[in-house]
Amino acid sequence: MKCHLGIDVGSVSTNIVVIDEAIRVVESLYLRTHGDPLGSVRQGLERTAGALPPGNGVSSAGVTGSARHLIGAMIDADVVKNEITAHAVAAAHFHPDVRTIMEIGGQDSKIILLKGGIVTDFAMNNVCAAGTGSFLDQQATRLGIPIEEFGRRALDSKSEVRIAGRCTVFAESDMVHKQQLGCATDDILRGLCDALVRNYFSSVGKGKDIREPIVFQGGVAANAGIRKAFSDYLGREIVIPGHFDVMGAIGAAILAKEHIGRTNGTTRFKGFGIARCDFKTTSLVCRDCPNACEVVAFRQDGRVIAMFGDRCGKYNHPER
Amino acid sequence: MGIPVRIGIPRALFYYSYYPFWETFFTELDAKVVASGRTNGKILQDGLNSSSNELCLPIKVLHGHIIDLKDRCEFVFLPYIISTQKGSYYCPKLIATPDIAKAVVPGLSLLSVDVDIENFYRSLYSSLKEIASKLRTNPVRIYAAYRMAMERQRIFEGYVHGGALFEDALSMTRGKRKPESAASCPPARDGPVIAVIGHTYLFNDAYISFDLIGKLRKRGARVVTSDALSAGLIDKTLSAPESRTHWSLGNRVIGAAVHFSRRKDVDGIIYITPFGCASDSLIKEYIDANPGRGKPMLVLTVDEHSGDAGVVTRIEAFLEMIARPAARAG
Repeated sequence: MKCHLGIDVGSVSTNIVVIDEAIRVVESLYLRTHGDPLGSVRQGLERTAGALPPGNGVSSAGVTGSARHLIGAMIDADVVKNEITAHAVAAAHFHPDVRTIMEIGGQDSKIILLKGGIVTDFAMNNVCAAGTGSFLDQQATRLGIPIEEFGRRALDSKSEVRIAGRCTVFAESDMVHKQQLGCATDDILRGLCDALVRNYFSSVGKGKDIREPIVFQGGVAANAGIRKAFSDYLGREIVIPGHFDVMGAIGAAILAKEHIGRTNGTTRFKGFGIARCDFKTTSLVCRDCPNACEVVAFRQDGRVIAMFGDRCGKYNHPER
Repeated sequence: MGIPVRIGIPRALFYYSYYPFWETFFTELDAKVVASGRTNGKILQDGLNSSSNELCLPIKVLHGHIIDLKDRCEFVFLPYIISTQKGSYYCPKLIATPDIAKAVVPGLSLLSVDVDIENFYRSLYSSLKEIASKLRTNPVRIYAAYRMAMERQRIFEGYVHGGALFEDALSMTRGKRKPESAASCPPARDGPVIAVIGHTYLFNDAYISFDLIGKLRKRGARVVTSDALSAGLIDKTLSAPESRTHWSLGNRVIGAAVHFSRRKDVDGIIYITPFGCASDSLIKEYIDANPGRGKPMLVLTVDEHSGDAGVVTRIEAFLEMIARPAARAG
């Protein structure tokens, strides 16, 4: 059977999916990146290869996420695509009439508006990661609550506690203050969910024409407290896709499948065997001009396969 | 005649608006004009190290340029540009750049003028007289130099309003045949038309704008900028008083957003803004509220962080958003 591989390598999670010709998800994997995209992709590829029923050949591979150029070079992907397009393509596949996609990942949040399956407007958070998944993670750890229980606990809240959501540093001191006043942990968790949602609509969601159907995806969509806070704030129903946490990877796989189909080509994907290769990055500071760029050389078994980070492009920057 | 006095002009802020004027003016007075180098990693780092955190990125960069210049000239020239149009002003931090520069770069010999439209001739004339005495030149020559500089500035603005980017317009004003482009990539022939709006000193500086214009061209887009709109056109676009603000540069951005969203040949608008710009944080609200806006618009915030991955992601997604309907239809 022909299948298509999609990888989404973000700051917090690495997601790998395999879809079949009919865009049904055959295999899906959600791993923590732990600051090591190469390691997590290697591990993910090994597990995917092991889980895939025999007789499945990868006929295309796509990569998205903030480490897409690195991983694209690692596996020799057919398509290396930005996260906005990947998320939009996946959401529009499962919900063809979708008008609004809200996506909150580990370190970024986005809003994408569509009409007839085509993106008409989007926004991404700038500079600061306030109100994203890693912030919820941190605060859950600080309160000693597993992130999996966060949402349920927030739903148990009986009363409202207002937490400042504009900046995570302020939010944290606000939370400490509310704890010291004796507020219940559940109420504080709910307050955090409301704060994140308020922050979302005063930053990326600001001034956007939000229409239904509204799809909420990304790792944070697992949190029932946030889901409720969103539908309360909007006063409208929000849809959570079945594969909400790996939608970026599904989008990458769909784009790769489309690309190979359109070009009648064969995949460049190096195969799952690359998980056993030795991948290393070394960095150097180029001294050829006052820019002093930090250049990264990416090696497979000692051989340089890509270089990144230079402004002038003389190291053959793949994204330029 | 002795060795000419060297006057340094930092390649930052108003350099991108008025350099032809000042270059001509000082050259006419027998001074030698030295511009700082293009912004690079060292200039940015020097600027960041010397500046207060509260300043916006372009002012921090200005300080880097002053440091780059100060040992290569007798005076660094920095104007107090208060107002160039009745009823609208520059940002207080921009107006105060000479004062801030004196505080952050010790031992700086500054040459300055006041430019204030409300009080234009008095303030400019007394400033120019002061400059003449510092340069030990006859005040009478100032008038001729001023006339010459105005003429050169007029020619330069003609090219800019004709759609030339800063560097190209400057080369053409100087009469050089081959314009050196501001962006790293020559203009595309076809492809979508993207209007880049924002402060001229941001998008014309390839380093701090992450070479936005070059990146767009490399991906096949044709670029027009808010520089190409004359002050008169901006004024006409913002004829309703409620659409105007107190800031000259802000009005330019709002006017450009309205103008380009009305233009049929423009496919999308990218508004590039430096993190920490006080007026831009309000301007965005005005643009959203203005009924004239209706084109896809990307707001791109840039800061001193060195990776350009975030900029690339947004540009790619934006161009794809514009291209995809066409691809589907065709």
